[in-house]
Amino acid sequence: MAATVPFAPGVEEEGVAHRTKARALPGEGGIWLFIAGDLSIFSQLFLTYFYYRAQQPALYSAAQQHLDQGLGMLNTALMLTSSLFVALAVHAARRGMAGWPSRLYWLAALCGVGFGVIKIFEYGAKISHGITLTTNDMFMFYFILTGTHMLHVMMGIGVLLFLANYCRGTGDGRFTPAALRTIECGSLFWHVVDLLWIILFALLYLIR
Amino acid sequence: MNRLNHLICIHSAIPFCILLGLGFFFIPGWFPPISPGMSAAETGAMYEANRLAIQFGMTLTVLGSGLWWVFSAAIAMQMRRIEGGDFPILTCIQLTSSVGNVIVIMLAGYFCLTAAYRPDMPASTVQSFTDIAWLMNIGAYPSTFIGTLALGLCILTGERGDVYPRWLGYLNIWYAVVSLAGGLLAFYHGGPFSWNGEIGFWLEANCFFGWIILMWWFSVRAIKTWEVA
Amino acid sequence: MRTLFWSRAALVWAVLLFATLFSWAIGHGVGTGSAAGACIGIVCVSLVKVYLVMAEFMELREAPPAALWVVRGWLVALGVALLWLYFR
Repeated sequence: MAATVPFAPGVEEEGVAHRTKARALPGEGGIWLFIAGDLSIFSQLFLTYFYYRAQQPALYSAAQQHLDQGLGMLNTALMLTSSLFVALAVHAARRGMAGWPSRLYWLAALCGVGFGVIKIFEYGAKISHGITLTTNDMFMFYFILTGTHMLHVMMGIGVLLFLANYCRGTGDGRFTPAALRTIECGSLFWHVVDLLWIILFALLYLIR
Repeated sequence: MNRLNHLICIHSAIPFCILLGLGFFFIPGWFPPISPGMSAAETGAMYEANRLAIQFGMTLTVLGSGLWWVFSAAIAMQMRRIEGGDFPILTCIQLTSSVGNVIVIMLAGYFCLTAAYRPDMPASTVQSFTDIAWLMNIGAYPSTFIGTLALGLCILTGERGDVYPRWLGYLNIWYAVVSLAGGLLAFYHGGPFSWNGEIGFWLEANCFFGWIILMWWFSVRAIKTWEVA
Repeated sequence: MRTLFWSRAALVWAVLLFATLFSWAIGHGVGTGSAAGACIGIVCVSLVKVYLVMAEFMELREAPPAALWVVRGWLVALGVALLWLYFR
Protein backbone atom coordinates (compact mmCIF):
# COMPACT_ATOMS: atom_id res chain seq x y z
CA MET A 1 0.00 0.00 0.00
CA ALA A 2 2.84 2.37 0.81
CA ALA A 3 4.07 2.26 -2.76
CA THR A 4 0.77 3.31 -4.28
CA VAL A 5 -0.62 5.79 -1.75
CA PRO A 6 1.02 9.20 -1.93
CA PHE A 7 1.84 10.08 1.66
CA ALA A 8 5.17 11.67 2.37
CA PRO A 9 6.23 13.78 5.31
CA GLY A 10 8.11 16.96 4.82
CA VAL A 11 11.87 16.90 5.28
CA GLU A 12 14.68 19.38 5.28
CA GLU A 13 17.56 19.07 2.86
CA GLU A 14 20.40 21.58 2.57
CA GLY A 15 18.46 23.98 4.72
CA VAL A 16 15.44 23.91 2.44
CA ALA A 17 12.24 22.32 3.68
CA HIS A 18 10.29 20.30 1.18
CA ARG A 19 8.30 17.11 0.73
CA THR A 20 10.00 13.89 -0.21
CA LYS A 21 7.55 13.53 -3.06
CA ALA A 22 6.46 16.35 -5.30
CA ARG A 23 2.75 15.80 -4.83
CA ALA A 24 1.97 14.12 -1.57
CA LEU A 25 -0.45 14.26 1.33
CA PRO A 26 0.87 15.09 4.77
CA GLY A 27 0.40 12.58 7.55
CA GLU A 28 -0.65 9.03 6.78
CA GLY A 29 -3.63 7.14 5.36
CA GLY A 30 -5.24 6.37 8.68
CA ILE A 31 -5.53 9.98 9.84
CA TRP A 32 -7.24 10.95 6.56
CA LEU A 33 -9.66 8.05 7.04
CA PHE A 34 -10.36 9.34 10.53
CA ILE A 35 -10.85 12.86 9.18
CA ALA A 36 -13.16 11.64 6.42
CA GLY A 37 -15.16 9.73 9.03
CA ASP A 38 -15.40 12.75 11.29
CA LEU A 39 -16.42 15.06 8.44
CA SER A 40 -19.01 12.49 7.39
CA ILE A 41 -20.54 12.32 10.87
CA PHE A 42 -20.61 16.07 11.24
CA SER A 43 -22.05 16.49 7.74
CA GLN A 44 -24.86 14.18 8.81
CA LEU A 45 -25.34 16.22 11.97
CA PHE A 46 -25.40 19.49 10.01
CA LEU A 47 -27.91 18.14 7.51
CA THR A 48 -30.06 16.67 10.28
CA TYR A 49 -30.07 20.06 11.99
CA PHE A 50 -31.11 21.88 8.84
CA TYR A 51 -33.76 19.26 8.10
CA TYR A 52 -35.38 19.68 11.52
CA ARG A 53 -34.91 23.45 11.39
CA ALA A 54 -36.93 23.65 8.20
CA GLN A 55 -39.92 22.08 9.99
CA GLN A 56 -40.11 24.85 12.59
CA PRO A 57 -38.15 27.87 11.35
CA ALA A 58 -39.92 30.31 13.64
CA LEU A 59 -39.11 28.31 16.78
CA TYR A 60 -35.47 28.01 15.76
CA SER A 61 -35.12 31.68 14.83
CA ALA A 62 -36.61 32.75 18.13
CA ALA A 63 -34.34 30.42 20.08
CA GLN A 64 -31.29 31.54 18.11
CA GLN A 65 -31.76 35.08 19.43
CA HIS A 66 -30.37 33.72 22.69
CA LEU A 67 -27.06 32.77 21.05
CA ASP A 68 -24.28 35.26 21.58
CA GLN A 69 -22.79 36.04 18.18
CA GLY A 70 -20.06 38.12 19.74
CA LEU A 71 -18.75 35.22 21.79
CA GLY A 72 -19.14 33.00 18.75
CA MET A 73 -16.98 35.39 16.69
CA LEU A 74 -14.39 35.47 19.45
CA ASN A 75 -14.35 31.70 19.50
CA THR A 76 -13.96 31.64 15.72
CA ALA A 77 -11.01 34.00 15.96
CA LEU A 78 -9.42 31.77 18.59
CA MET A 79 -9.90 28.69 16.44
CA LEU A 80 -8.48 30.34 13.33
CA THR A 81 -5.50 31.71 15.23
CA SER A 82 -4.79 28.36 16.84
CA SER A 83 -4.86 26.78 13.38
CA LEU A 84 -2.33 29.34 12.19
CA PHE A 85 -0.05 28.50 15.09
CA VAL A 86 -0.33 24.80 14.27
CA ALA A 87 0.41 25.36 10.58
CA LEU A 88 3.46 27.45 11.53
CA ALA A 89 4.56 24.78 14.00
CA VAL A 90 4.65 22.21 11.21
CA HIS A 91 6.66 24.55 9.03
CA ALA A 92 9.02 25.25 11.89
CA ALA A 93 9.47 21.54 12.48
CA ARG A 94 10.31 20.95 8.83
CA ARG A 95 12.84 23.78 8.85
CA GLY A 96 14.49 22.50 11.99
CA MET A 97 13.82 25.71 13.92
CA ALA A 98 14.63 24.41 17.36
CA GLY A 99 12.17 25.29 20.11
CA TRP A 100 9.59 26.92 17.86
CA PRO A 101 7.34 23.92 17.15
CA SER A 102 6.88 23.34 20.86
CA ARG A 103 6.21 26.99 21.60
CA LEU A 104 3.68 27.26 18.80
CA TYR A 105 1.85 24.11 19.90
CA TRP A 106 1.62 25.55 23.42
CA LEU A 107 0.15 28.76 22.00
CA ALA A 108 -2.34 26.80 19.94
CA ALA A 109 -3.33 24.77 23.00
CA LEU A 110 -3.78 28.01 24.91
CA CYS A 111 -6.17 29.24 22.23
CA GLY A 112 -8.03 25.96 22.56
CA VAL A 113 -8.33 26.41 26.30
CA GLY A 114 -9.57 29.96 25.73
CA PHE A 115 -12.20 28.56 23.41
CA GLY A 116 -13.24 26.13 26.12
CA VAL A 117 -13.44 28.82 28.78
CA ILE A 118 -15.71 30.95 26.58
CA LYS A 119 -17.86 27.87 25.94
CA ILE A 120 -18.21 27.31 29.67
CA PHE A 121 -19.38 30.91 30.09
CA GLU A 122 -21.82 30.49 27.21
CA TYR A 123 -23.25 27.27 28.56
CA GLY A 124 -23.34 28.68 32.07
CA ALA A 125 -25.30 31.70 30.94
CA LYS A 126 -27.84 29.52 29.17
CA ILE A 127 -28.24 27.11 32.06
CA SER A 128 -28.67 29.91 34.57
CA HIS A 129 -31.57 31.10 32.43
CA GLY A 130 -33.07 27.63 32.57
CA ILE A 131 -32.07 26.76 29.01
CA THR A 132 -30.74 23.22 28.64
CA LEU A 133 -30.44 20.51 26.01
CA THR A 134 -34.02 19.45 26.58
CA THR A 135 -35.60 22.93 26.50
CA ASN A 136 -36.57 22.72 22.84
CA ASP A 137 -35.34 21.26 19.56
CA MET A 138 -33.11 24.20 18.71
CA PHE A 139 -31.28 24.02 22.01
CA MET A 140 -31.06 20.24 21.67
CA PHE A 141 -29.03 20.80 18.51
CA TYR A 142 -27.12 23.72 19.98
CA PHE A 143 -25.90 21.83 23.04
CA ILE A 144 -25.30 18.53 21.26
CA LEU A 145 -23.51 19.98 18.21
CA THR A 146 -21.36 22.40 20.17
CA GLY A 147 -20.88 19.78 22.88
CA THR A 148 -19.66 17.20 20.40
CA HIS A 149 -17.36 19.84 18.93
CA MET A 150 -16.14 20.74 22.41
CA LEU A 151 -15.30 17.07 22.95
CA HIS A 152 -13.17 17.27 19.84
CA VAL A 153 -11.56 20.47 21.12
CA MET A 154 -10.60 18.71 24.34
CA MET A 155 -9.18 15.77 22.41
CA GLY A 156 -7.37 18.25 20.21
CA ILE A 157 -5.87 20.09 23.16
CA GLY A 158 -4.58 16.74 24.37
CA VAL A 159 -3.03 16.13 20.97
CA LEU A 160 -1.46 19.62 20.91
CA LEU A 161 0.04 19.20 24.37
CA PHE A 162 1.37 15.82 23.31
CA LEU A 163 2.95 17.42 20.24
CA ALA A 164 4.37 20.29 22.29
CA ASN A 165 6.13 17.74 24.45
CA TYR A 166 7.02 15.50 21.51
CA CYS A 167 8.80 18.35 19.72
CA ARG A 168 10.89 19.23 22.73
CA GLY A 169 13.05 16.16 22.43
CA THR A 170 15.33 17.12 19.57
CA GLY A 171 18.27 19.24 20.56
CA ASP A 172 19.03 20.52 17.08
CA GLY A 173 15.42 20.87 15.97
CA ARG A 174 15.73 18.12 13.37
CA PHE A 175 13.01 15.50 13.04
CA THR A 176 13.05 12.13 11.37
CA PRO A 177 10.50 11.52 8.60
CA ALA A 178 8.53 9.30 10.98
CA ALA A 179 8.47 12.04 13.61
CA LEU A 180 7.34 14.59 11.04
CA ARG A 181 4.57 12.24 10.07
CA THR A 182 3.36 12.12 13.68
CA ILE A 183 3.54 15.90 13.89
CA GLU A 184 1.56 16.25 10.67
CA CYS A 185 -1.12 13.78 11.80
CA GLY A 186 -1.75 15.60 15.06
CA SER A 187 -1.78 18.95 13.31
CA LEU A 188 -4.26 17.76 10.70
CA PHE A 189 -6.66 16.74 13.46
CA TRP A 190 -6.55 20.21 14.98
CA HIS A 191 -7.31 21.85 11.62
CA VAL A 192 -10.38 19.64 11.34
CA VAL A 193 -11.50 20.85 14.77
CA ASP A 194 -11.12 24.38 13.44
CA LEU A 195 -12.99 23.86 10.19
CA LEU A 196 -15.86 22.08 11.91
CA TRP A 197 -16.34 25.14 14.11
CA ILE A 198 -16.38 27.38 11.04
CA ILE A 199 -19.39 25.52 9.69
CA LEU A 200 -21.03 25.10 13.11
CA PHE A 201 -20.75 28.82 13.86
CA ALA A 202 -22.35 29.71 10.54
CA LEU A 203 -25.23 27.26 10.84
CA LEU A 204 -26.07 27.75 14.52
CA TYR A 205 -25.19 31.38 15.17
CA LEU A 206 -25.31 33.29 11.90
CA ILE A 207 -28.12 31.79 9.82
CA ARG A 208 -31.32 32.87 11.48
CA MET B 1 -1.39 -22.25 19.33
CA ASN B 2 -4.40 -23.92 17.75
CA ARG B 3 -5.24 -21.77 14.76
CA LEU B 4 -8.60 -23.48 14.27
CA ASN B 5 -9.72 -22.49 17.78
CA HIS B 6 -8.97 -18.85 17.08
CA LEU B 7 -10.77 -18.98 13.75
CA ILE B 8 -13.85 -20.54 15.30
CA CYS B 9 -13.85 -17.86 17.97
CA ILE B 10 -13.58 -14.99 15.53
CA HIS B 11 -16.33 -16.49 13.38
CA SER B 12 -18.65 -16.39 16.41
CA ALA B 13 -19.33 -12.83 15.23
CA ILE B 14 -21.66 -14.31 12.64
CA PRO B 15 -24.06 -16.19 14.94
CA PHE B 16 -23.83 -13.25 17.34
CA CYS B 17 -25.09 -10.81 14.72
CA ILE B 18 -27.78 -13.20 13.52
CA LEU B 19 -29.06 -13.96 17.03
CA LEU B 20 -29.04 -10.30 18.08
CA GLY B 21 -30.62 -9.10 14.85
CA LEU B 22 -33.33 -11.74 14.77
CA GLY B 23 -33.81 -11.86 18.53
CA PHE B 24 -34.00 -8.22 19.54
CA PHE B 25 -35.31 -6.69 16.34
CA PHE B 26 -36.96 -8.83 13.71
CA ILE B 27 -38.81 -11.54 15.64
CA PRO B 28 -40.50 -9.22 18.19
CA GLY B 29 -41.40 -6.89 15.32
CA TRP B 30 -39.08 -4.20 16.69
CA PHE B 31 -37.54 -3.25 13.36
CA PRO B 32 -37.73 -0.40 12.57
CA PRO B 33 -37.24 0.25 16.28
CA ILE B 34 -40.15 1.07 18.56
CA SER B 35 -40.65 4.68 19.49
CA PRO B 36 -39.76 6.03 22.93
CA GLY B 37 -42.76 8.30 22.48
CA MET B 38 -45.21 5.41 22.92
CA SER B 39 -47.46 5.69 25.95
CA ALA B 40 -47.52 3.09 28.70
CA ALA B 41 -50.88 1.84 27.42
CA GLU B 42 -49.50 1.45 23.91
CA THR B 43 -46.46 -0.41 25.22
CA GLY B 44 -48.68 -2.75 27.24
CA ALA B 45 -50.86 -3.38 24.22
CA MET B 46 -47.79 -4.13 22.10
CA TYR B 47 -46.71 -6.80 24.58
CA GLU B 48 -50.25 -8.17 24.71
CA ALA B 49 -50.33 -8.55 20.94
CA ASN B 50 -46.83 -10.00 20.50
CA ARG B 51 -46.12 -11.72 23.80
CA LEU B 52 -44.75 -15.00 22.51
CA ALA B 53 -42.76 -13.36 19.71
CA ILE B 54 -41.16 -10.99 22.21
CA GLN B 55 -40.37 -13.82 24.61
CA PHE B 56 -38.86 -15.96 21.88
CA GLY B 57 -36.87 -13.07 20.44
CA MET B 58 -35.50 -12.07 23.85
CA THR B 59 -34.49 -15.67 24.50
CA LEU B 60 -32.41 -15.61 21.34
CA THR B 61 -30.97 -12.25 22.40
CA VAL B 62 -29.84 -13.64 25.76
CA LEU B 63 -28.50 -16.76 24.06
CA GLY B 64 -26.48 -14.80 21.53
CA SER B 65 -25.14 -12.21 23.94
CA GLY B 66 -22.41 -14.47 25.35
CA LEU B 67 -20.89 -14.95 21.91
CA TRP B 68 -19.52 -11.44 22.16
CA TRP B 69 -17.10 -12.72 24.82
CA VAL B 70 -15.84 -15.30 22.36
CA PHE B 71 -15.44 -12.78 19.55
CA SER B 72 -13.70 -10.30 21.85
CA ALA B 73 -11.29 -12.94 23.10
CA ALA B 74 -10.19 -13.66 19.55
CA ILE B 75 -9.51 -9.96 18.98
CA ALA B 76 -7.74 -9.73 22.32
CA MET B 77 -5.32 -12.47 21.28
CA GLN B 78 -4.37 -10.44 18.22
CA MET B 79 -3.86 -7.42 20.45
CA ARG B 80 -1.66 -9.62 22.63
CA ARG B 81 0.54 -10.28 19.60
CA ILE B 82 0.79 -6.54 18.91
CA GLU B 83 1.48 -5.43 22.46
CA GLY B 84 4.00 -8.09 23.27
CA GLY B 85 5.81 -8.07 26.60
CA ASP B 86 4.60 -9.39 29.92
CA PHE B 87 2.00 -6.74 30.75
CA PRO B 88 -0.39 -6.29 27.82
CA ILE B 89 -2.61 -3.74 29.51
CA LEU B 90 -4.53 -2.57 26.45
CA THR B 91 -5.41 -6.19 25.70
CA CYS B 92 -6.70 -6.58 29.25
CA ILE B 93 -8.76 -3.42 29.01
CA GLN B 94 -10.38 -4.55 25.77
CA LEU B 95 -11.16 -7.99 27.08
CA THR B 96 -12.54 -6.65 30.36
CA SER B 97 -14.72 -4.08 28.61
CA SER B 98 -16.32 -6.83 26.53
CA VAL B 99 -18.00 -8.02 29.73
CA GLY B 100 -19.97 -4.79 29.80
CA ASN B 101 -21.18 -5.22 26.25
CA VAL B 102 -22.49 -8.71 26.97
CA ILE B 103 -24.19 -7.63 30.19
CA VAL B 104 -26.22 -4.85 28.60
CA ILE B 105 -27.42 -7.10 25.79
CA MET B 106 -28.19 -9.97 28.14
CA LEU B 107 -29.98 -7.78 30.66
CA ALA B 108 -31.93 -6.02 27.91
CA GLY B 109 -33.21 -9.45 26.95
CA TYR B 110 -34.07 -10.32 30.55
CA PHE B 111 -35.85 -7.05 31.26
CA CYS B 112 -38.10 -7.55 28.25
CA LEU B 113 -38.60 -11.21 29.16
CA THR B 114 -39.71 -10.06 32.62
CA ALA B 115 -42.01 -7.45 31.12
CA ALA B 116 -43.64 -10.19 29.06
CA TYR B 117 -43.65 -12.72 31.88
CA ARG B 118 -46.93 -11.94 33.64
CA PRO B 119 -49.84 -10.72 31.52
CA ASP B 120 -51.36 -8.81 34.44
CA MET B 121 -48.28 -6.64 34.98
CA PRO B 122 -49.30 -2.96 34.98
CA ALA B 123 -48.60 -1.21 31.67
CA SER B 124 -46.45 1.44 33.33
CA THR B 125 -44.19 -1.28 34.70
CA VAL B 126 -44.02 -2.96 31.32
CA GLN B 127 -42.96 0.38 29.87
CA SER B 128 -40.34 0.96 32.54
CA PHE B 129 -38.73 -2.43 31.92
CA THR B 130 -38.80 -1.86 28.18
CA ASP B 131 -37.25 1.57 28.70
CA ILE B 132 -34.40 0.07 30.70
CA ALA B 133 -33.80 -2.55 28.01
CA TRP B 134 -33.73 -0.10 25.12
CA LEU B 135 -31.72 2.62 26.85
CA MET B 136 -29.17 0.05 27.96
CA ASN B 137 -28.91 -1.89 24.73
CA ILE B 138 -29.10 0.83 22.08
CA GLY B 139 -27.21 3.32 24.18
CA ALA B 140 -24.49 0.94 25.32
CA TYR B 141 -21.41 3.09 25.12
CA PRO B 142 -19.11 2.81 28.14
CA SER B 143 -17.83 -0.62 27.23
CA THR B 144 -17.65 0.12 23.54
CA PHE B 145 -15.88 3.41 24.11
CA ILE B 146 -13.20 2.05 26.42
CA GLY B 147 -12.72 -1.21 24.49
CA THR B 148 -12.41 0.24 21.02
CA LEU B 149 -10.22 3.08 22.28
CA ALA B 150 -7.88 0.50 23.78
CA LEU B 151 -7.92 -1.47 20.56
CA GLY B 152 -7.20 1.60 18.45
CA LEU B 153 -4.36 2.76 20.67
CA CYS B 154 -2.95 -0.76 20.68
CA ILE B 155 -2.82 -0.87 16.90
CA LEU B 156 -1.24 2.58 16.64
CA THR B 157 1.32 2.31 19.43
CA GLY B 158 2.01 -1.43 19.53
CA GLU B 159 5.29 -3.15 18.94
CA ARG B 160 4.40 -4.70 15.64
CA GLY B 161 2.42 -3.37 12.71
CA ASP B 162 1.78 -6.52 10.70
CA VAL B 163 -1.25 -7.84 12.60
CA TYR B 164 -3.85 -5.21 11.80
CA PRO B 165 -3.48 -2.42 9.20
CA ARG B 166 -2.62 0.91 10.77
CA TRP B 167 -5.70 2.67 9.45
CA LEU B 168 -7.84 0.24 11.43
CA GLY B 169 -6.37 1.75 14.57
CA TYR B 170 -7.56 5.20 13.51
CA LEU B 171 -10.94 3.73 12.62
CA ASN B 172 -11.31 2.25 16.09
CA ILE B 173 -10.59 5.59 17.72
CA TRP B 174 -13.14 7.23 15.42
CA TYR B 175 -15.73 4.59 16.29
CA ALA B 176 -15.01 4.99 19.99
CA VAL B 177 -15.91 8.68 19.76
CA VAL B 178 -19.00 7.98 17.64
CA SER B 179 -20.23 5.44 20.20
CA LEU B 180 -20.53 8.21 22.79
CA ALA B 181 -23.74 9.37 21.10
CA GLY B 182 -25.40 6.56 23.05
CA GLY B 183 -25.23 8.83 26.06
CA LEU B 184 -27.82 11.14 24.52
CA LEU B 185 -30.63 8.58 24.35
CA ALA B 186 -31.62 9.12 27.96
CA PHE B 187 -32.61 12.72 27.31
CA TYR B 188 -35.04 12.38 24.42
CA HIS B 189 -38.32 10.65 23.69
CA GLY B 190 -38.12 11.39 19.99
CA GLY B 191 -36.07 13.17 17.37
CA PRO B 192 -32.63 12.36 15.97
CA PHE B 193 -30.93 11.57 19.28
CA SER B 194 -33.48 9.15 20.70
CA TRP B 195 -33.25 5.38 20.62
CA ASN B 196 -35.05 5.21 17.28
CA GLY B 197 -33.55 8.38 15.82
CA GLU B 198 -31.39 9.02 12.77
CA ILE B 199 -28.30 9.49 14.90
CA GLY B 200 -29.21 7.60 18.07
CA PHE B 201 -30.16 4.41 16.30
CA TRP B 202 -29.44 4.35 12.58
CA LEU B 203 -25.98 5.90 12.61
CA GLU B 204 -24.93 3.95 15.69
CA ALA B 205 -26.32 0.63 14.42
CA ASN B 206 -24.62 1.02 11.04
CA CYS B 207 -21.33 1.88 12.71
CA PHE B 208 -21.67 -1.03 15.15
CA PHE B 209 -22.28 -3.66 12.50
CA GLY B 210 -19.77 -2.08 10.14
CA TRP B 211 -17.16 -2.23 12.89
CA ILE B 212 -17.93 -5.90 13.57
CA ILE B 213 -17.57 -6.75 9.88
CA LEU B 214 -14.25 -4.93 9.58
CA MET B 215 -12.76 -6.36 12.78
CA TRP B 216 -13.96 -9.83 11.83
CA TRP B 217 -12.43 -9.58 8.35
CA PHE B 218 -9.07 -8.27 9.45
CA SER B 219 -8.88 -10.61 12.45
CA VAL B 220 -9.47 -13.60 10.19
CA ARG B 221 -6.66 -12.35 8.01
CA ALA B 222 -4.41 -11.84 11.03
CA ILE B 223 -5.12 -15.36 12.31
CA LYS B 224 -4.49 -16.95 8.93
CA THR B 225 -1.15 -15.17 8.52
CA TRP B 226 -0.08 -15.84 12.11
CA GLU B 227 3.34 -17.44 12.01
CA VAL B 228 3.08 -20.54 14.19
CA ALA B 229 5.31 -20.37 17.25
CA MET C 1 10.88 33.72 13.21
CA ARG C 2 9.98 36.57 10.95
CA THR C 3 10.37 34.38 7.87
CA LEU C 4 8.18 31.81 9.55
CA PHE C 5 5.35 34.19 10.29
CA TRP C 6 5.30 36.33 7.14
CA SER C 7 4.10 33.46 5.05
CA ARG C 8 1.20 32.28 2.98
CA ALA C 9 -0.31 30.75 6.10
CA ALA C 10 -0.50 34.12 7.85
CA LEU C 11 -2.07 35.68 4.78
CA VAL C 12 -4.71 32.96 4.69
CA TRP C 13 -5.36 33.51 8.37
CA ALA C 14 -6.01 37.20 7.78
CA VAL C 15 -8.34 36.38 4.90
CA LEU C 16 -10.20 33.90 7.13
CA LEU C 17 -10.65 36.49 9.88
CA PHE C 18 -11.94 39.01 7.39
CA ALA C 19 -14.29 36.41 5.90
CA THR C 20 -15.64 35.72 9.39
CA LEU C 21 -16.47 39.39 9.86
CA PHE C 22 -17.92 39.49 6.37
CA SER C 23 -20.22 36.52 7.01
CA TRP C 24 -21.41 38.18 10.24
CA ALA C 25 -22.11 41.33 8.24
CA ILE C 26 -24.07 39.43 5.63
CA GLY C 27 -26.26 38.14 8.43
CA HIS C 28 -26.86 41.73 9.47
CA GLY C 29 -28.02 43.12 6.19
CA VAL C 30 -24.84 43.85 4.26
CA GLY C 31 -25.27 42.95 0.60
CA THR C 32 -28.77 41.58 1.00
CA GLY C 33 -31.79 42.46 3.08
CA SER C 34 -33.49 39.10 3.07
CA ALA C 35 -32.86 36.21 5.42
CA ALA C 36 -32.79 33.85 2.46
CA GLY C 37 -30.12 35.83 0.69
CA ALA C 38 -28.13 36.00 3.90
CA CYS C 39 -28.35 32.24 4.28
CA ILE C 40 -26.95 31.67 0.81
CA GLY C 41 -24.19 34.17 1.39
CA ILE C 42 -23.20 32.81 4.77
CA VAL C 43 -23.19 29.19 3.61
CA CYS C 44 -21.03 30.06 0.61
CA VAL C 45 -18.53 32.17 2.58
CA SER C 46 -18.26 29.52 5.28
CA LEU C 47 -17.62 26.69 2.84
CA VAL C 48 -14.98 28.79 1.08
CA LYS C 49 -13.35 29.29 4.50
CA VAL C 50 -13.34 25.52 5.01
CA TYR C 51 -11.78 25.11 1.57
CA LEU C 52 -9.03 27.55 2.48
CA VAL C 53 -8.28 25.72 5.72
CA MET C 54 -8.07 22.42 3.88
CA ALA C 55 -6.09 23.71 0.91
CA GLU C 56 -3.62 25.83 2.87
CA PHE C 57 -3.40 24.76 6.51
CA MET C 58 -3.94 21.08 5.75
CA GLU C 59 -1.69 21.41 2.70
CA LEU C 60 -3.99 19.76 0.22
CA ARG C 61 -2.78 22.30 -2.30
CA GLU C 62 0.44 20.33 -2.49
CA ALA C 63 -1.28 16.97 -2.60
CA PRO C 64 -2.31 14.96 -5.65
CA PRO C 65 -5.06 16.95 -7.41
CA ALA C 66 -7.65 14.25 -6.68
CA ALA C 67 -7.61 15.22 -3.01
CA LEU C 68 -8.79 18.79 -3.63
CA TRP C 69 -11.37 17.57 -6.12
CA VAL C 70 -12.84 15.31 -3.44
CA VAL C 71 -12.93 18.29 -1.08
CA ARG C 72 -14.60 20.50 -3.67
CA GLY C 73 -17.14 17.78 -4.37
CA TRP C 74 -17.93 17.35 -0.69
CA LEU C 75 -18.25 21.10 -0.06
CA VAL C 76 -20.47 21.64 -3.08
CA ALA C 77 -22.67 18.67 -2.15
CA LEU C 78 -22.92 19.85 1.46
CA GLY C 79 -23.72 23.42 0.39
CA VAL C 80 -26.35 22.34 -2.10
CA ALA C 81 -27.93 19.96 0.44
CA LEU C 82 -28.00 22.61 3.17
CA LEU C 83 -29.53 25.23 0.91
CA TRP C 84 -32.04 22.77 -0.49
CA LEU C 85 -33.14 21.88 3.05
CA TYR C 86 -33.42 25.56 3.96
CA PHE C 87 -35.54 26.46 0.95
CA ARG C 88 -37.83 23.45 0.56
